[in-house]
Amino acid sequence: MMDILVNLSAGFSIMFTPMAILLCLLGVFAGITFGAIPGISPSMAVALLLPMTFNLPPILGMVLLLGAYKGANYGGSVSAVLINTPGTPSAAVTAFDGYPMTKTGRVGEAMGISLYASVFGGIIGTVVLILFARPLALVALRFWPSEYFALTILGLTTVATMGGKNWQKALVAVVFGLLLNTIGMDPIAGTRRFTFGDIRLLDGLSLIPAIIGLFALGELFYNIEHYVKGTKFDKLAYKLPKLSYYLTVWKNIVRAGVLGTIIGIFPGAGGTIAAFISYDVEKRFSKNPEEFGKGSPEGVAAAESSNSASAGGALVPLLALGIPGSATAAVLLGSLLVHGLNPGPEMFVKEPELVYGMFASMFMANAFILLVGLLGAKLFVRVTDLKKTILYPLIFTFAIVGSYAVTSSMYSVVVCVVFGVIGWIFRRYGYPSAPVVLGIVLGSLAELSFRQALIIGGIESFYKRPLTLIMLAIAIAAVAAPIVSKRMKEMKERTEID
Amino acid sequence: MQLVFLAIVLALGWLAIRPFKKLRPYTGQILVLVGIFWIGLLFYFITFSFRVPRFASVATTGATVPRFWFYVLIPITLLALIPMLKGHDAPDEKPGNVWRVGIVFGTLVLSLVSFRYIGYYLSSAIFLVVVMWVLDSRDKVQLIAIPVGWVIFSHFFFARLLYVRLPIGTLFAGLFG
Repeated sequence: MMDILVNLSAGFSIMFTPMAILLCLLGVFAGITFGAIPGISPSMAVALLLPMTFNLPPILGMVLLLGAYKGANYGGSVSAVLINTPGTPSAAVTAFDGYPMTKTGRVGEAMGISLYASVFGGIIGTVVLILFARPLALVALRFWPSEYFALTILGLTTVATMGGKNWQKALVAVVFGLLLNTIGMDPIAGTRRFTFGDIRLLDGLSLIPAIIGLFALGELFYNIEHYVKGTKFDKLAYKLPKLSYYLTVWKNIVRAGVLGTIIGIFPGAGGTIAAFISYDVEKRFSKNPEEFGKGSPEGVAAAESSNSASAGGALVPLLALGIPGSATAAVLLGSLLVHGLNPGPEMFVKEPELVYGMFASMFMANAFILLVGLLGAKLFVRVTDLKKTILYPLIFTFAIVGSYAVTSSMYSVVVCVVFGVIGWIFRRYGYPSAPVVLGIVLGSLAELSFRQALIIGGIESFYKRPLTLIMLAIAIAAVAAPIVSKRMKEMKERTEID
Repeated sequence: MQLVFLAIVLALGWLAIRPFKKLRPYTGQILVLVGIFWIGLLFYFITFSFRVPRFASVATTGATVPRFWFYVLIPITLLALIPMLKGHDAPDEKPGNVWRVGIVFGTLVLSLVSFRYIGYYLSSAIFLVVVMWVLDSRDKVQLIAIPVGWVIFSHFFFARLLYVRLPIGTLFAGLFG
């Protein structure tokens, strides 16, 4: 413990230099800007800044990139809250409650919660990273495919609470997403599946354009269908709430932060799954679960905190073992390798100043996110001041160019538009869109781990490994609990009426 | 071709629902279910035509998971159908101005197709003007300033700063290329 404190103070001493502070601020600002644009993922934001680090000392290069990584994670929520267009896949969960809050005039509240939850979630993730990097990374590595499969099933069970009254439709939607996810090359044997001769489908459906389509275009088509000339948004409360307000959601932030960090540690899991699971957990803990999906501050806090914390978790396997757990971590690994550094257990011994300098920069990045977020929030929310006649067409063009930017091809745009129509139809007929995203996000990991488990250990691997069994049991309970409690409530009401 | 089949299936579904007065308020919701089930069924049958590599594992093939999801879809579709059959679900909401959506969608598709010929910048500017017009915007300054502003912003931000190679179109490529 003493070692950690000594090394951390050395790391902070590096950070308190004008150049490091400037680069951290620049990284955060660029990250928030890129993250807020649909189609620019955190990994793209970091990759775009990567060439700038080649001539910098390794620690300063990492300060810039980590700032961008953390900033982009927060930036995704800005467009999600304001215009229901998640800048990053994980911000899709923030949109569930953030956008309804904006629509009902509570935009300041939504922006404030997403900002503070993101900052404190990020701090939780960083603290866990500093204290438990090595032991946690080793635990994550011992996970078998059957446990990964159980984790994805656990993630899929969040659909049980996501649908609310329409839980049957939510189940249909999630299976629809899982089915769509099987389009493309089979991950084990390379069989072409459902491509109908189109080679662009070999890589499967692009996730980001699909999300932009489902959420942004789907909502736009619906709004245009019901548009009445001269209507404006409800009067918006731009002002950020007082600090005391955030204390009402501190438990949600802490719980989701811890959960987000843990899930983020597992390679391939990532912030999106973390956000979905944390959202579900917080809904179960909440005294007002019926508010979730309609503008619940707890929902925004859970999604943002876990998403931000998972960034710290994703760095655990990277720094402790040299294994990148996410696309962004892979870009960061590339940056370290460019500078002749090999992440892994030895780096903690050989380059403590670099490692702890990176930890210190993550704390500083969180502080800058708070600063930029507070100063920028008033500016960001002015977007909703625009007339609908201007805002709607602009969201269309943003969505299209954002989708195009993902692969620089019209294929992504077509995916976006097709999912836009699906999102509109779903919205019209009461089918929630979020489970489709859940199915697409978790489908790949579920299939890969399921088949790997079958190949390695056969069907036995699902019931002979205790951790798999426990996780699957929790998943079954998670699905059954709301249904059983609803039934019991109905029966109780009936007996009371009788 | 698959879309034509889907349309035929939906039309048949619609015809099947019409005689049942109780089901008519749920026409849209049921057709969504029919559409999803059809896609699942189509995928299921296609799995039988997969070429399985010789080295493929006996335990699983590329067909395993799609088939598994289809088996899951069957009971879930029935489960979703029950509240509608019982009349417990909320009926379809009344349609709004679907024509307006059709016009915007058509403009969007035309705009995307025209990327290849007149480029991103001009087609997105035209798209903005048309959609603003469809949404009853008649302010001439806005109708000019917004598309021009967007073109300038998208050029500097996406093309210059983020190096996104936006299509310039065969027309402009021919003129300036």
